[in-house]
Amino acid sequence: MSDNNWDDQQIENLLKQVPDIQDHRSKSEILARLKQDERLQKVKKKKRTPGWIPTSVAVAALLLLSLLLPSMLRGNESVMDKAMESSKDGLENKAEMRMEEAATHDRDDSAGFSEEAEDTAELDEGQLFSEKQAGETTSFAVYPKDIVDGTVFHIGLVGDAGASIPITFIIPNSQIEADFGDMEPTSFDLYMEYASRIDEAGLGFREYHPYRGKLSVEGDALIQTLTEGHGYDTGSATVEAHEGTLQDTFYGFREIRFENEDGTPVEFDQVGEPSKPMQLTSGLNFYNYYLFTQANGQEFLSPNFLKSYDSFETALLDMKEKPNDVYSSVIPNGVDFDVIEEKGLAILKFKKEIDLEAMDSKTMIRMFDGLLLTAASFGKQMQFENVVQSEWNGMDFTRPLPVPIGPNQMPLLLK
Amino acid sequence: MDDSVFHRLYEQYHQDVFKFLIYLTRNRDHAEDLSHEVYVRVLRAYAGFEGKSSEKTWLFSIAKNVAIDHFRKNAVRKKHLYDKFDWEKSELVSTGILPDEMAVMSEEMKDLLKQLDQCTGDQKMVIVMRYFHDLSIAETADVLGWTEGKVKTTQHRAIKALQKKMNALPKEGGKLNVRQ
Repeated sequence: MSDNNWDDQQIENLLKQVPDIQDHRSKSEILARLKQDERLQKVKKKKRTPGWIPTSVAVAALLLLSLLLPSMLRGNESVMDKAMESSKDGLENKAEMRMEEAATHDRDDSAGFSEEAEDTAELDEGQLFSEKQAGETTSFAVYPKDIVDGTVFHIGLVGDAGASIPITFIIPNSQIEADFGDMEPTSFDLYMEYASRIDEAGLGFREYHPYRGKLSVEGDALIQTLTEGHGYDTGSATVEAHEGTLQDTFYGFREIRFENEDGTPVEFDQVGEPSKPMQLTSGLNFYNYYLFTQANGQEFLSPNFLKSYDSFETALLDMKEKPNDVYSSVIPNGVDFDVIEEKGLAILKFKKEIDLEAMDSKTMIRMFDGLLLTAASFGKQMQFENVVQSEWNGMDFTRPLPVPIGPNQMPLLLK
Repeated sequence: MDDSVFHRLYEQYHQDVFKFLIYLTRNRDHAEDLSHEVYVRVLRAYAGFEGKSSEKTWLFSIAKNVAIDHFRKNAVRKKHLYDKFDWEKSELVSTGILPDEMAVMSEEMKDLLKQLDQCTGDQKMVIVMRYFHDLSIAETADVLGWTEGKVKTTQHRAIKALQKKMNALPKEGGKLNVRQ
């Protein structure tokens, strides 16, 4: 036993005497480092040189871009036909001003990605995805009905917070047939075929893929063979981006092992011990979803870094709060709910009846998509109660809603 | 980026934010990295600062979030992903090298800081803000997004926890030279 006899006052007095500790770096040194940080720089549009691109891929990319970008930026509509419909409506029916306006933007965008692609002019990030266009986004998740003769390609792209953002591409099956023949590609096959050609900067992300080292398959496991200086362990952000993107990309595999060229496990600097295989979860990550907004105004639904939950209910209830200054809640102020589970079905009951017509539609879609993605991350289907409308924006509230296939659909823009 | 905003924020808050981060992490390299991260987030969000809170508490809340993310990432990484990290209940312990300034502190001060590391994250955060930075109850509540009542309760519990831990130490590390 100790004979010390500290009282509250003495503790408080000592706490008040803590000395100042100064940063010894100069102001110019700190500023210089900030100037180097690409998150504070404007996006420089890359000069695209024709290079070697198979004609079929180039045509498909252009077609996808001109047809899908309107849909991706604006609506929770099915992939091909709805996008075509929208463009057509916008061009032909001047009475539908919003559509016309959107289509005008779409045409501008197409030009931005093709004709102006030769320019090396520095563009303000806002010009790529303006506030207005971002504001018109009304879909943050992909549902089974959105897959019309297409193949889903999940991938984690790195946003300007340095974290993985789960993205869903839908590649037309005609393209898949052209690239893979009769074979049904796995997530690994899709990655190997397309990852190096995705125009990440053009889509608003950091240039991150393809992974360094070599990827290979062994049964239901993946192996990433890394050599000295791979750079995936230089800091906590790089470690997290590496893990997050792998998890968001390789669906259908059990685990990924990190090996040196001699087959021994890689020892990551930040961990300090031989790496263990990372379990791959194929989307069952026990995450909840928040809003992430890039500097250029693009909005995505994303987990809070890699935070997972033991309890589904806690995951949902936590969504009401902003977790940090990177992510925001998708649950509007004043909306509250309880969750109960019945035979694998999650029933989310709003405490006050919600009249969706009286709310901002984009906010509501974001909320429903975020909640449904969270349920999907726990392998659950969800039904909503206490909503005035029985049907709204394609959602039938009288029954459990479909489980989303993935978040954040984007057009597969290839270099 | 807007250099003028940086210059003003640097002059007004830099050393305060740095002190906040270094006392939380007890590691100069980490504090430098995290202060860089604070600037990045602040400069990117500056145009959207709505003035609902004071600039000072806004900056501290960003610094707090950056620090929590740092501890959370460390915890997640050590446990190979997917474990829950609740900063309010976890200890925010940094295992880095102690800055020189801490090495030359009195033994009792070193003991106190060591015991502070053993407190829960919410207690440590409140102590750092209230005593090291002299933030008011209202300012601390604003930074943490808590009610003032929660700040008061947490502070009370933190002092009691520190008192208990300090009294449990061997006497040599005890209370000599406490200036009143």
